Amino acid sequence: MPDTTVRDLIGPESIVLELAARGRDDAILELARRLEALDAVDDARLVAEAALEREAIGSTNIGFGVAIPHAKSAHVLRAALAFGRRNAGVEWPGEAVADAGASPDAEREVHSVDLIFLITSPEHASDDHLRMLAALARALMHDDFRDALRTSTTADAVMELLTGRLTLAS
Amino acid sequence: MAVQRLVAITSCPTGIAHTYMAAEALSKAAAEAGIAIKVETQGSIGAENRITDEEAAQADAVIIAADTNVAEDRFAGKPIVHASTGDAIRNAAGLIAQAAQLASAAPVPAAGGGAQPAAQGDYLARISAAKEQRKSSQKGPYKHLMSGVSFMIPFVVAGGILIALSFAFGIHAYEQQGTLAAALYRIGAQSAFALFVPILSGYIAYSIADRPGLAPGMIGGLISTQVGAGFLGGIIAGFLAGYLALWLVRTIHLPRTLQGLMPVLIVPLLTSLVVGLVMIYVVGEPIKAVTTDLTTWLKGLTGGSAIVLGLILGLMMAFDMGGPVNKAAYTFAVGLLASNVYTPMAAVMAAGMVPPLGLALATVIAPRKFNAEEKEAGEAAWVLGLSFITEGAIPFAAADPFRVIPSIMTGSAITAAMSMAFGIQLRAPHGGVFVLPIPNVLTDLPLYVLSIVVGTVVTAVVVSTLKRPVAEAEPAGVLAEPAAA
Repeated sequence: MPDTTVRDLIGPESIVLELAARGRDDAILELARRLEALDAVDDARLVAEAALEREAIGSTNIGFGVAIPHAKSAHVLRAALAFGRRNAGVEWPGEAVADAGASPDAEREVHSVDLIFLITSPEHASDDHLRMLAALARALMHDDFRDALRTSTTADAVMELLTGRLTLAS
Repeated sequence: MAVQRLVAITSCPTGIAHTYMAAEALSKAAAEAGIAIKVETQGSIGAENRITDEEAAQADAVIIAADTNVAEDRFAGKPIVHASTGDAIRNAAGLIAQAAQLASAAPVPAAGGGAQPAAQGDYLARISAAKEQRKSSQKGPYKHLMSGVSFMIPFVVAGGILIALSFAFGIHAYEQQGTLAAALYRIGAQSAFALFVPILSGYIAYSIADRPGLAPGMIGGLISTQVGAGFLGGIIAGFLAGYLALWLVRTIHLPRTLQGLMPVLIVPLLTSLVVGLVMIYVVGEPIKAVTTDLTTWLKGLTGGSAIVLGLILGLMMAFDMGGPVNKAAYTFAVGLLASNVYTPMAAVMAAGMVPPLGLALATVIAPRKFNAEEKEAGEAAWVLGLSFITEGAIPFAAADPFRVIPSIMTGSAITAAMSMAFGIQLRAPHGGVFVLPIPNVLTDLPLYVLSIVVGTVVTAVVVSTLKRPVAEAEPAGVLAEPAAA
């Protein structure tokens, strides 16, 4: 069975180190356009809509300044990943979590992110792709990984970081 | 004890990301706390890192961080912390700490746990674990209401007893300015009792919306008492304030620079304004009418209708031993103290004391029907019953629910009906026998004790008759599974 690697999902072309978008909807569309240019999706607008439908069910702003919008749609041609960063932050409504301690700082953090991973998957994704995404999700829970994403200066550096960190767990 | 072992399950609807982030967050937080954990992920790839039956049996506590329904039957009897994946991602350390605390409160026997002699300490620990478990599995509006009630109780206890003490100087003694009786009345009636409905509403709202809900909830509760809508109005004010504040927090999105104003200025101001106006112009009058009618009806209750109310309250108190039905009856009685209605409180406390007392008595009069563990448990149940901790009956009921629960319901119903029929009034909402000797807390001590004794004896006789001798009953060791509620 062919091994799936990080490079099957993401390349330097789908990494945006300084997003133009300031808001959630625009940021998702901006990343979806990158994937459209790479022929990973056939209609960026519809894929962005699918991701927004998912946001409506529950925000994918997971805290720590990270959001992981995802779209499962017939307009996705292959499972793919796009990464966007905006140091000044992107407005992204989050969900207050009970007992998380409601300091004003925390309140503010809840509604803004600076690291965004757009995940697209076709209607029937392979387990390998899903495992890769699971590994990404796990990695995002670690401060050092997030800090490294924030300080990488080139798309290639981000790629190196991702390939180094995301190995298929058995 | 040795290093604690936790097991956890994470699961989210799409099963793509949150399941794994929650799992990673829990593993990381457990490692930092020096606690062993195994996290099973139920994602779109299927269940991975499965928890074996053996691991489930050996776990000290369980965390279920899921936004989907996760089967929990593997963990029957274990303390379980329920949370969403979002909770686990953002507050994993808190969940681990909560689980560790439950685990240390509930020492779990090793797998296959045979009939170990249960020390009384274990038994008490299991009761408190069962209570904690119930608390952590409370959901939604019920959880918010119970949160408000638990903050309210100390005000009612302190206020009720101090008012009773002021009456010890004579029922009108407090009307003389400058006397100690007047001072006691001022502390109890004009301060503690004046606060208790606002505290109830405030903490219902706090439980729903966190800090932004507290001020509007308390303000709405105070208005409820001012317009005569009592604790019913207070409950409405609390839920209104809480859900409105929560909705505003989620709906209003300000520029980053102004977001700090949300929890201190915008949400409390708007919510207080709306809740206050609604309480004054919309809810106040109809709830006042309901409260007045209810109060008048309850104060006028005699004979047959008093007995019927007593029977119902008694059945409710014993039915789930501290669960939602029990708490509904209890909250009803405590709330009525705000309207100077004291008979349901007396009935409810007596009925809540009877189940552990009756079972304790049963272990003495019918020792052959109980195993060694239960007999030991019976000794502790005396104390729990006298202290009005109905949960003391749970281990007996968990082991043999279809014989034990009808028995305790019978006894409690008789006790509560007698208390209502005698018109006994109680001003303190908790404390069991320990508050009864305080002057004027209770209107008729001898008849009250008689009601409790009759219910206790009835419970003991019924349960002793229904239960089979221990040889043919279930094997020993069932007690090791607390609260199969």
